[in-house]
Amino acid sequence: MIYHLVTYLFDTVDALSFLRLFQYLSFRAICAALTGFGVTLLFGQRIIRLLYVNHVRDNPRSHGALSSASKAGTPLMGGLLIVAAIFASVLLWSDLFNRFTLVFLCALVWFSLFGFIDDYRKIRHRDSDRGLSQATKLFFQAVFGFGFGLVFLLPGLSPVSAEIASELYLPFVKDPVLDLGWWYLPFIAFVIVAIANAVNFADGLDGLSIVPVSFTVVVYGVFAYVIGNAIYSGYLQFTFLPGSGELTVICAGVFGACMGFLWYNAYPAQVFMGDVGALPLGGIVGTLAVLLKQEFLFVITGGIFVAMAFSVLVQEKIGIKWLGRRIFYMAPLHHAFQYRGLAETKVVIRFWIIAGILAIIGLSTLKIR
Amino acid sequence: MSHITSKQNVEQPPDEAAPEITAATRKTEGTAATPKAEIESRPLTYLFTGGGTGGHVYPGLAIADEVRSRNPEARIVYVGARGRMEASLVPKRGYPIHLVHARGLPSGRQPLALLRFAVSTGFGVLQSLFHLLRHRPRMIVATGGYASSPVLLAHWILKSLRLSGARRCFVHEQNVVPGKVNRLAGRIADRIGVSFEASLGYFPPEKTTWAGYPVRREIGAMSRDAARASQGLPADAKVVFAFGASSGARSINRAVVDALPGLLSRPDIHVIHVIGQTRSPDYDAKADTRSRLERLGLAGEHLSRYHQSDYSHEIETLYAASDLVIGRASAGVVTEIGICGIPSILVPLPYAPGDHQAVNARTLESRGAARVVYESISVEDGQTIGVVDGERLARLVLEILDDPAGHAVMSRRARETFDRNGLDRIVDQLDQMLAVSQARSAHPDRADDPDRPADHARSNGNPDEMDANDAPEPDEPAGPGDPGDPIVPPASALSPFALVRRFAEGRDEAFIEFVGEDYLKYRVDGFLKDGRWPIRNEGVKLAGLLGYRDRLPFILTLLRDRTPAPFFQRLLGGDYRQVGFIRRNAVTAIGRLGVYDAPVRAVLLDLLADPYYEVRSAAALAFADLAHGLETADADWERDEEVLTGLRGLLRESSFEIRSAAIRALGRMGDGAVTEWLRPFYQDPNGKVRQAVIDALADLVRRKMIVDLDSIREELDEILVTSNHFEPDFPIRRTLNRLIGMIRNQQEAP
Repeated sequence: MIYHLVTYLFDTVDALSFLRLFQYLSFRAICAALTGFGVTLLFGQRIIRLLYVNHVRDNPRSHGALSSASKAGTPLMGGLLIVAAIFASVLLWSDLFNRFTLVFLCALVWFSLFGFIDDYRKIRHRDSDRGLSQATKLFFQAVFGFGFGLVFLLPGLSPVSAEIASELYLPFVKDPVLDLGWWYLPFIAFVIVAIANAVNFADGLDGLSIVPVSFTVVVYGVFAYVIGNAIYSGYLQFTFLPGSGELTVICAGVFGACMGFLWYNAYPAQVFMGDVGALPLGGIVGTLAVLLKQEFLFVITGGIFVAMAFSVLVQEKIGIKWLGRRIFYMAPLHHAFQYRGLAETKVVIRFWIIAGILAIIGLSTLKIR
Repeated sequence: MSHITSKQNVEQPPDEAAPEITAATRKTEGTAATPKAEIESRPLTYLFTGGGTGGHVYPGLAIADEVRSRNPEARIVYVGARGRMEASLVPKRGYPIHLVHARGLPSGRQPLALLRFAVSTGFGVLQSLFHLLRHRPRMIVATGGYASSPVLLAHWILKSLRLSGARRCFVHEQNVVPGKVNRLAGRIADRIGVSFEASLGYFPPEKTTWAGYPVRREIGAMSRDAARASQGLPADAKVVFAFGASSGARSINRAVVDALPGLLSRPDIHVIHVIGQTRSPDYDAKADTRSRLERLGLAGEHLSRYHQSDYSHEIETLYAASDLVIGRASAGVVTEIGICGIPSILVPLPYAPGDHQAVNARTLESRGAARVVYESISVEDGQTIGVVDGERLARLVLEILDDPAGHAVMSRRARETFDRNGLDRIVDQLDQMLAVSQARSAHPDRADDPDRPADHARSNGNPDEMDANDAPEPDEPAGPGDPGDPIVPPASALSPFALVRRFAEGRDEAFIEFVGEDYLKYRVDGFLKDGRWPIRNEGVKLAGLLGYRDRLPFILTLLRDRTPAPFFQRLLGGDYRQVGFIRRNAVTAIGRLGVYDAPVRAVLLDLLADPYYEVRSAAALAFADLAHGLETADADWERDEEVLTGLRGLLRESSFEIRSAAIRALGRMGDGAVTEWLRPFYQDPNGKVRQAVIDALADLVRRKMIVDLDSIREELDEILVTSNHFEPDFPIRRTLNRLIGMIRNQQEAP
């Protein structure tokens, strides 16, 4: 809203032309990041207390994660804090008539809502197994995926031009590899479901998912800046997507909110994000990947999430359900490391390191093409 | 309302609920006795279907007999499955039968079996279509079992194409828990009659009524003396009548033969044994029984009081003649012997759908009308079979027969539990359905009147409250204090997974007493021999958790079973049919059972080389646990070289889990010499392994196996103590816990 206000002001009042600064993506991105961080920091303590007083607490699981028993009773639904901070920074600093922004906000609202329902049920039943079933979550994710895919592929609604909407791009490759046509619709749904779930699996230890998510978001933010800029995209041989630069501001806002949340979530956590945090984070990363037509970049930058999702699928579906044996010591991967005797902090920091390195590799695909 | 005889019924339909219909019926043809007349020139045809096993055929035949006795002109046609019970039973009763292709739905997901099922059923449906179009029955009566599925599907097709005319379809369910076919049939049928009120919930309520079980008129009609005379049995003898299901039951047959020496030693006891006609590669009832009998070598005098046959067509006579029945607990059998008022020893068919036979048997037992003997399991020629202890059976029989007063009470209780009007209620309903459909075709403008089930059916006679309490309530966990159900907790509380959860923390004695240890053991046996590995897996866990030492031989057989897994599973890392989890949990169970003898030791030694890593480590830990119990210190302690070498082999494993387990086991089983083997692990990269080394050394020291304590103390310096692992300690929680403890103490001490 500040963006719209300022644009209006310098258009009408000559004396305020210095406010043109606010037109620049880079400046707004920094403001968005600071807003996101500031909001979480400012309201964090209060919201955590509010959650605790209202018995929004994590209950010890009857089975599963190793050292969580000693953290039983930690306030849950810290994701509300993240979502609120992202909202604040996007509403303040983004162009709200930009289609990329609108799609992003839809994703944020949709995933936050059913993440909230999921957490609410867990808390009401005082049982972390009584949330929405896996199938229901998949259904909600797929509904968004298909709806989003439809918007993306319909020329009148899509934020990108019709010629390239259904083209498939790969990292390290300059030109689109193939045009999927309407098959792009199920592909989008798959990407959304896969990424949303992968991020959700990673939410198991203090700070484990929030840092890799923020790294991923930064990488996508840089890509958005390049792809949304006619000159840079031409220079780096990307297909120019007019308007996508706005996503840089959004990514910065998300990054700020994530850092603010880490403030409280770092080991030993004062608050857990819960599904109201994990689902929207996964959902928006998936949405960003599709909007920027960089779906496969996630396999690199989000390699941690992919590995976790893969380990869970292999362990559960092939090992435990079908073969009757374990394939990894435990799944998701971070529990396997804990099982081997690594302390939680050690596992988390090592995952951060790996996520950082993967993010750098992801960024290198800007140039190596 | 009391029982209405069939005669009255024919002349005056007792249907106050639908007077209009009665009037309409009268208008068109005078009485309902000949409901064909003007509307259809063809004779009134009933098509019966159902079968696969005798349990589904007999009720159909009973209904058919009653239909024919009320209306001798009715045409009755039977459609059944090729090569099953109905193929021989139905013609013997004098009804024409058409055999069609049918096949039971295969359990599990074998694509080939599913394909065979689909093809066979599809073909059966075509055949049934032909029979339906040819005979154009006015009424289809289906009594369940997969044999009835083609006919029902064919009827459904014709009905959706509006080619079935005024044809009605009645489905009868005999068991508490309906079978798969009947659940499906509930949607197709016009009306459903159930034998137990507890099954009402499985069907659409608007067309379902409690009808009871159709017991043939002959059952219970004969006097005891006449029956004995016809069978050549002395009037004052004590007669025990034993039979499996119509197809014969191995466990019952063998137990009866094994019980013979005990029973026939009493001069007044006669045993009638109907062994059934089973002849499969697994079990040939006749040959098996003969060879067992020969092995017993009974004296001729004894054998003269043992009356054996493969099959009996006059079961009603045998019932009438007997003092005690030994048999399965199917709905049909329990109703029939209940009506005859005979005490019984029931051996429920294990793991029947919903375990309904056990439910039936336990209900009768709780009423004091029967005793229950559960099958336990044993392995024979690599096959798991159910067995009943013959000597125990003999003792139980004598106990009942030797107590005339108790016998009389059981007899009375049995009679009180059942009412015998099921057949009438069902055929009344058939008549009423026909009358309604007749009226409808005569007066199409009244077609809006749905043929509601007659309300009188519910209140008629003694509503069978027997199973009123057994309706499964999936979400309500039953506790011993639950007032709702005095007999059996809901099925969900007895599922393998629920039981494992319940006993994970130790034996819940209150629950065990509530359910009955016998019954619990029988459930566990059922799990252990289940075809699906996840169920077997829970069975193995339960045997360990509940400490069922008598199942140890069976667990060992599971572990020796090296049948490979199906090809595709092996491709992805599967190994044996007894999957990794089962083997691991079996080993853990052995550790819990605490028996360490030669067979256990041999099996565990083999498992140290198992292909699945968790099994190897569990086997090492089991050695540690079991040896722990044997710790006899210096005097007769003996170094088990073979086991120690086996454990030492595991030290080279790449998995830290196995290394740690082996090290711990060495600490428990080894002597001072093993410290030599542990030394290379003092700086192991994995902290958990080093921790195991320390534990092992501690065990050795505690067991006084290490003589040179000085040098071992020096060696401890070598152990790498930096660690990636620590346990967090939140002082605030500790203090809070202390406060809570203080408050509790003050509350307790006034």
